[in-house]
Amino acid sequence: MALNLTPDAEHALKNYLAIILGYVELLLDEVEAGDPRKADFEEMKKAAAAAVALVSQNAEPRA
Amino acid sequence: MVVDDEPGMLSLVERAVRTTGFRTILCSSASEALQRLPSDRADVALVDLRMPEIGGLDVLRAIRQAQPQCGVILMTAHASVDTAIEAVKLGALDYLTKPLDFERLRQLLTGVEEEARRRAELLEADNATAHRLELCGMIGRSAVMQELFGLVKRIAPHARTALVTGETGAGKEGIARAIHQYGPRKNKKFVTINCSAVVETLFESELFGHARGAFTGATEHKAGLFEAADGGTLFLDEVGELPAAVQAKLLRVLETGEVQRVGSLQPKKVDVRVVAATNRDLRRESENGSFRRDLFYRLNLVELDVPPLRERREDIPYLVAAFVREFADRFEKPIERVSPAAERLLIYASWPGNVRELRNVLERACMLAEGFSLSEADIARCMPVESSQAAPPPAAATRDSGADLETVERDHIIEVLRAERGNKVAAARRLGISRRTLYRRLERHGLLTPGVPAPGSGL
Repeated sequence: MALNLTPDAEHALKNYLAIILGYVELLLDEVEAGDPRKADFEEMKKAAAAAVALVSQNAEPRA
Repeated sequence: MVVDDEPGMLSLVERAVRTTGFRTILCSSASEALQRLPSDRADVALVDLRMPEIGGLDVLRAIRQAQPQCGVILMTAHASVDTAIEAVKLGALDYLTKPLDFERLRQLLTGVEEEARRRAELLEADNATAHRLELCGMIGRSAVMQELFGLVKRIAPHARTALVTGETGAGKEGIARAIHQYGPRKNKKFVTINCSAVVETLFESELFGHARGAFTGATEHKAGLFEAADGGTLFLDEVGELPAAVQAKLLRVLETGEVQRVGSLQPKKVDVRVVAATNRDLRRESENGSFRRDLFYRLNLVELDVPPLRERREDIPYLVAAFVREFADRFEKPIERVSPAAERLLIYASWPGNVRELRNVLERACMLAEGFSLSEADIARCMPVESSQAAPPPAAATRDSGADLETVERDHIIEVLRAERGNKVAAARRLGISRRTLYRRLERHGLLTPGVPAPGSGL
């Protein structure tokens, strides 16, 4: 999938995603092994990481 | 310190490093960071590369300059090889891409913490050595001062009189105090009189006291300084200024251990150790009769010569560090060091006023300076013209005859080099030696590496 993002948009998006991903990781560190929310956080992390990858890919040709 | 224009990022980093024990200072803009930099002394700064107005690289430059011990980690959402190289060149600790790898961040912080601890330990060890190399607060790592300190400690328990010689500001009173401190009288009084500051006619009454009615205005009995210092030490500063009549009486007191108040016939026993100090050549003056010879020999039983600062230039960096610390504390300023150029300026100055002058210059410089570091300009504007010349201009006339040959040679070479504006060929010709010999001498005196600053180099 190719996104058509301006460099500014890409930068801003990445920043927001970094915040989302960062918090999810912190939450994952905090929840106990048997906590039912753990799987939810994993889903959030997976989606955020995929978004980061997508935005990065968009940046690839220019790097 | 965390600097990012995105508030979400700030709180995220704060959360992420909470477990590491670091206290966080959050700045939502580069200008806020630069403003807080002088007062909030961070060990490490985590700076976003791309911010509006002032960018991360500029913040990095500012931190490297103002607070070099603060490590800087840059972070960016959009990594590029060029900025990464630029950042490392400017002295960044590392370059992280967003999303942040917390593991890596924590590792970096642990490294910073260890580095800070190691530095603190080193500083402490250094302070411990410094303590050994000090005597009653006087700093003297140089061989000449170590020898002097050793002599003070050896004679202090025994000597009943001592003469401290040395140039003005060299620290004669400090040595006198040390003799008192290391002697058996350290818990007794240490009484000081500056003989050049007393009106001639009042000397006797000052030193020995007077009885009521001894002279007009003597309405009460008064004890003199000898009685005040009974059991302790009397320090006679500038003893060379003592009028001849008082010299005779002083000698009598030293010999008999008795004082007689002016206008009283009753002699009084006193037990006083007398330490005298002078910047004059009393030996010569006693030979040509302007100072009583018998008194000179009496005082001179133990003679301690305090070397001038220019003969112990290796002590200057330590003195500077101590004074800067003292004045930074007193003026509540964050100054913690002097720039290398400023230090060179201080080391090569001639210091006719010795340690006292050095101290005064640094006091003035610290009072006026801003920032963490004293620059060459900060020092230069506080330094009297005659001191900023590397060697006293009319050389032979002011040269201390007690200086050893090495020092004389070294000073003379510096002087000639300056006169020849750093031209070594011309300097060698004037010194009557070959250029190669000059280089050898320069090397031996350790003058080759930093280079004798030429007069035009701002020194």
